[in-house]
Amino acid sequence: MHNRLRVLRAERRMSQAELAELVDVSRQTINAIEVGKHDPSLTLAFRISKVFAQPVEALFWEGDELERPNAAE
Amino acid sequence: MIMQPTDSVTCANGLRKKDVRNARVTNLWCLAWALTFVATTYAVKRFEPAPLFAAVAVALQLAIGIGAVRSYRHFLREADELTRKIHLEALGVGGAAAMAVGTTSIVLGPSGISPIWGLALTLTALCCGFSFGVARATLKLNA
Repeated sequence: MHNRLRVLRAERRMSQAELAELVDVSRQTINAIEVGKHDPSLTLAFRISKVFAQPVEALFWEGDELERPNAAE
Repeated sequence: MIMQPTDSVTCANGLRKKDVRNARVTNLWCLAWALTFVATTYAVKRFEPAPLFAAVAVALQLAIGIGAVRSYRHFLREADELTRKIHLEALGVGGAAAMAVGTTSIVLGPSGISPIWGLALTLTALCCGFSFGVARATLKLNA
């Protein structure tokens, strides 16, 4: 599964630790999600999408990394 | 830059404080269980106490063992999802190692290996497999 967490964090100048605090997980979990070693649970995915005020499908997607849904928007 | 909340829920190493606290509680339960296991085994063998005293000692050891299991279950339920994944992988490795060593010791039973050694080796394989599994999964998922 691919995601845009690193990009969205960078846009908001937010550290992994800060995002981890906001969604109540460890910093290691955020890092593992960003590098693709861990797929978040549905609950965590929704919590992260709430932080970035974006729909889940805009943050996480399956398949080719460049085939992000709504990538042209 | 977003400021770090003053009542931070994570430790300096990035782990959640409640996970660290729950892990410490579980470790203390396991330490207490190991100590009572050794003390009970030694006392029953060495002093051959009255049946009632021996029964109380065994019941205490069993109760602490159950407390350790409950504490570990609580830790897993409350744990951060990556920690839970690491422990799931480690339990798989530990369980597989225990099954392999346990069945081998049963097969080797007629060759003269005593059942108590078979049990001791099985428990050792479980503990070593679990520890190895935690270390390997942590390195794999945190790298």
